[in-house]
Amino acid sequence: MTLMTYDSTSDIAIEVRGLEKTYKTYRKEAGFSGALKSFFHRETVPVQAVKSSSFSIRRGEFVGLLGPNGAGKTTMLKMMTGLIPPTSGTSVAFGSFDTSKRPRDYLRRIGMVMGQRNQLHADLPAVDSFRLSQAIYDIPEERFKSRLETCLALFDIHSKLNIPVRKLSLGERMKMELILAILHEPELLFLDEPTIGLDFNAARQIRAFLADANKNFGITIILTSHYTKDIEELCRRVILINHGTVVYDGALDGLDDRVQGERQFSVTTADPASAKTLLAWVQKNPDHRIMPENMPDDTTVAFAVTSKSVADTTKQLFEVIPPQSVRDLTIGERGLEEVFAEVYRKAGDSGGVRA
Amino acid sequence: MTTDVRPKMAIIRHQTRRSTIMRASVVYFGQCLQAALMYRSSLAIFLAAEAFSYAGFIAFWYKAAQSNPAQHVYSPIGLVVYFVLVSFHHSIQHHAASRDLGSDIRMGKLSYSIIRPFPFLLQTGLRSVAFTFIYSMLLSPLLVGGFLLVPGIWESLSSGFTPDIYWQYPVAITIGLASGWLVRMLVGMLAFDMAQIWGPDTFFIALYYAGSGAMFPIDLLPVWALNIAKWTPMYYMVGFPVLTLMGRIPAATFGQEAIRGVVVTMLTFAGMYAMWRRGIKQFEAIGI
Amino acid sequence: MIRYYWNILRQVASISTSSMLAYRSNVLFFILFESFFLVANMGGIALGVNLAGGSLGGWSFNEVMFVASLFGVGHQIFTTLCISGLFHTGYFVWSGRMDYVLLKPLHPLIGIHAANELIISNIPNLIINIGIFLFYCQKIITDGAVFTFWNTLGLMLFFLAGLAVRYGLAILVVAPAFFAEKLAEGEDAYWSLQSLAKYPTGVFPRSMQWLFSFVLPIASIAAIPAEVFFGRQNIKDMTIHFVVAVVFAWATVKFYETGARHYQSVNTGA
Repeated sequence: MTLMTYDSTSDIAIEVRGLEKTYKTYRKEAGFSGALKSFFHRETVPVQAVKSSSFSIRRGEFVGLLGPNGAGKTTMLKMMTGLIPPTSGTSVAFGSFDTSKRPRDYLRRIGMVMGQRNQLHADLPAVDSFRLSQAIYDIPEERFKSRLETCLALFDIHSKLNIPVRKLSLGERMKMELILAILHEPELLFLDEPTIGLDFNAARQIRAFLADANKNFGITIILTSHYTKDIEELCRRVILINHGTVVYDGALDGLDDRVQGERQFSVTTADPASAKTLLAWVQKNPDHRIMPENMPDDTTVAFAVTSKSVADTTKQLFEVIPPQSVRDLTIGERGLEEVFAEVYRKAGDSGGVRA
Repeated sequence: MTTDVRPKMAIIRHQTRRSTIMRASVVYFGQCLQAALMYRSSLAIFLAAEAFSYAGFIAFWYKAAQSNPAQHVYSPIGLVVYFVLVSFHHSIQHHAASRDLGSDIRMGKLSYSIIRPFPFLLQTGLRSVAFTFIYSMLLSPLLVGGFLLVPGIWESLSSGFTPDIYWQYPVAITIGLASGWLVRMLVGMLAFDMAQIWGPDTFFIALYYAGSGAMFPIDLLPVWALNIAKWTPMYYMVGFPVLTLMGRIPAATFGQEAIRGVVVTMLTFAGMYAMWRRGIKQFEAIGI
Repeated sequence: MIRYYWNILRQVASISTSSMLAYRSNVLFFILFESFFLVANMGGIALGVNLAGGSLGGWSFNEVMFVASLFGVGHQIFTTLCISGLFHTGYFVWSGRMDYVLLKPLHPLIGIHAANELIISNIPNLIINIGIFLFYCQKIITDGAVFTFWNTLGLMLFFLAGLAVRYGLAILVVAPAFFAEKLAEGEDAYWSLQSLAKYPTGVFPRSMQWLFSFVLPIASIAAIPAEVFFGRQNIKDMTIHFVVAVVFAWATVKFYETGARHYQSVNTGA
């Protein structure tokens, strides 16, 4: 076993170089005859889940790892934790640990929460699982109590500590899972869809908790989620993965600009005639993109322009129709899902979009 | 809607439902077979371990019979035959049926099933039938190979055959498989009342080993113990079909034993069905 | 290091006891199970030896029962301490819960035990089996056997080696779960294989004796410790059996470690 010495001065939390993962799966024809055929001879199908991906994450960052279902996010995450070995490439944590070897000193410094799986003992209160974690990570009693108290206060969940886990609601269970994951003061936290299935309030509390953990405890967090609210509120940097390839790696703000960010106008007029005039003007201008799906009635006109021309468009709008004809005017950003969809589409055309 | 149309529609609906259930049963049975065939290494390990285990039983009892052949009720070869047949009859039983049922009840599958027009008990029954079918297919070559290759055991077995065996054995094996499934369903239904059923399930396994003949020739028990065993479903699961096949149940008493077997099976069915009705009424679909 | 593992063991014992107290009926069912199973198991063996005329393969009735009761004690120790962790390996691999086990800074075997429970409910059965073992110890003393320092030490050492073989046997049948799509019958395979160990080796043909002594050393579980105690093993054979048992256990642990390294997590297939 190679001894890996932890380098506390390294400001890189995790560095991934040329990471690839190919799984072997089996194809089986439908029906009983297919099952019988498969019993004697299996057709193996290789699936490349992750293709030669490289990036670095600095200490203290809060990074969103995003992509559609089957993109390779969870595979990527699990390779970084050391759960599954890569087919090729390297993943090195803190400048010292080859994660594929799962060294114990590395495992002591990380935590992981998977939204669709739990590790708390279902029949017993969460505090019993916390105590076991204290023993496994050898946490001194004072630090354990202090950390636990802080986490319980952040979630305001003291009253649930001694209730059997299987009697807790989904949101309460997930909060306990998160507490369990950071009790041992990890430096790196991996979260695989931690807010899945949670109601708005529980998800909001969890986001606040994670933001606090990142800011006050200095934990580097890598998060996968399908909820744009998680990404918008927590991540300053996102890594978008599609078909196993990194298609974008950069600031969340830069994403929209990178794909020619646009702004969406929604104008509600006082009368249909004004709306008709406005619509004719919008249609004449090739830089305007009409959005009929956002026009529920004949007094609403919705269209999009590039972010650079917002000021000019606003000025021209009030030259086309008088201000008193405008009952309501909204200028908004494109929804994050639309931005992602555009990124994936462009990546399919050009092979990737990088910051 | 006129009055005379409604009965016709009811009949049509009823017939449609019955044919739908039959079609669904066939599809479901096929899928159970497919699922059993999917995990080859699991099957291989199970079969290898079973073969080992019964080699041990056979070795012990063979030695016992050899050591005192004049006194022994079974000849050494007869004991080999007994345990080869016991191995087959033990392995084709769906031992996990009670655990699967308990899991279905606690983990939510029952919730889905009871809102669909496909009876849940029929599903569990088909699962067990599929298991028995698959394992019978897989084990039959081993059984035949054993009888062909090990000298003397086929002659020993066939010497006990009578013309009645061709109807007695199907009756015995049907009673055995039915009583086995029913009692396992009964144990599994404790999941309506208990969060974990592996305690009672384990206890049932002990009763099975004590009274089925899987661990020792059941007819070597003292008469009083054998008479008690014959009033439990366990006796009919393994011992009864094996002894029937070996011709160790006299023709004169077979009818009596079979009727007793049917009575025991019906009583088990009554108990199981009563528990099912009670359980379904109070089912809260909470799960774990 | 000892303190560290002792703390983990203490917490696992605490969790196991709490869980047992949540399902109290299991204690009763375990006792009922053991009672019937003991009757079936040992009754069957007794029946066979009696029908054989009171001795089997050079072993007297009480000696055969001594082997069976020694087997029973080892079985209960293993059941109490080890089965929950090991036999959940297949389920944990299939469901993906093994992810959390492998993320702990522990050896995978210690991790899987820490993630499961000790079967505290089984302690009464352990006590019952120890009682039966002591009963047959008294019987063989009556028959003329003598407990000296050396044969008792030999019995205990080989009994421990036998426990290691039990553990290794269980690993052998559950570790393939890391390499297969789904392995649900590992536990059944273990019970089938280890059931051979309750007989003296003399009942088996020579080829099987060799197999169970040197390839799959299940004879080390009960038969060989008994043979050591009764002085039926020479030093050379004793040493070979001991080494084989230890090497077997070590090899299976390595097999488990290899499986854990090969683990592909759920939805990926192997």
